[in-house]
Amino acid sequence: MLPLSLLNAAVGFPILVELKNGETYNGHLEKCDNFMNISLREVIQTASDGDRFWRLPETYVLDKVKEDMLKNRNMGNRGGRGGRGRGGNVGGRGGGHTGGSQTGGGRGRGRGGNKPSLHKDKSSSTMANKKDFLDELRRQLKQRTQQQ
Amino acid sequence: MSQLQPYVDCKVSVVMNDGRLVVGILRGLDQTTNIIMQSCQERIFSEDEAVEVVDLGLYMIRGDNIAIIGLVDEVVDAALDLDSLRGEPLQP
Repeated sequence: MLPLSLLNAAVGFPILVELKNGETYNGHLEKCDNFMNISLREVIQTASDGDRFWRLPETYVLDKVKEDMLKNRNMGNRGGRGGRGRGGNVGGRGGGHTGGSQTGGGRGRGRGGNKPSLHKDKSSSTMANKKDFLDELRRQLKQRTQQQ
Repeated sequence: MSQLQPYVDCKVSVVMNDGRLVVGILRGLDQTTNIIMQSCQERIFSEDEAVEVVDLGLYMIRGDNIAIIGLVDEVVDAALDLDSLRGEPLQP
């Protein structure tokens, strides 16, 4: 089975994403694309040393390390956690830290750049990712402004 | 990539770039060697304690982080006494 098809099949399920710098993101997979950029909701970010942050807005991730499909195992736990409630509290921090989804364009790019995960050997495919990622974000931003 | 086709549905041992060892059943792979593994177990070696096994479930590991994929001989693997194994962990 292809990894990308598994990823597409996992849309809507809770997953754990680990990045190259060791940070882990727990959240529901909202979207993914052929470059394996992913979009998560209700995300809990955990730094590599175990400190926790809450993040309510949508999170865009480029260049991941590995993903763990939590799926059925964690469905029940997630419901009970009430992460959403606490997410609201730290909205300020979340907003400052990551840059919300709404202004996804610049911030999203910034997130990608901040991470040391954009590896030393940046291949040409990563650049292609970024260009398409920007186009995609511009498109989404346009859609959202039109909706408003 | 097709060189790994015979490994599908077999138990494989994957060594990652950061030195981690993960064992599981290879379910799928693609052009960039991203792999899907089922029933993963991470084996953590140390010189003092017994091997630590962490059950991970279904994993998809991105190809850039994989160093080695090896086929596991199930007979030999079953015979391994993990409690008594000692070893120095791999470095990144």
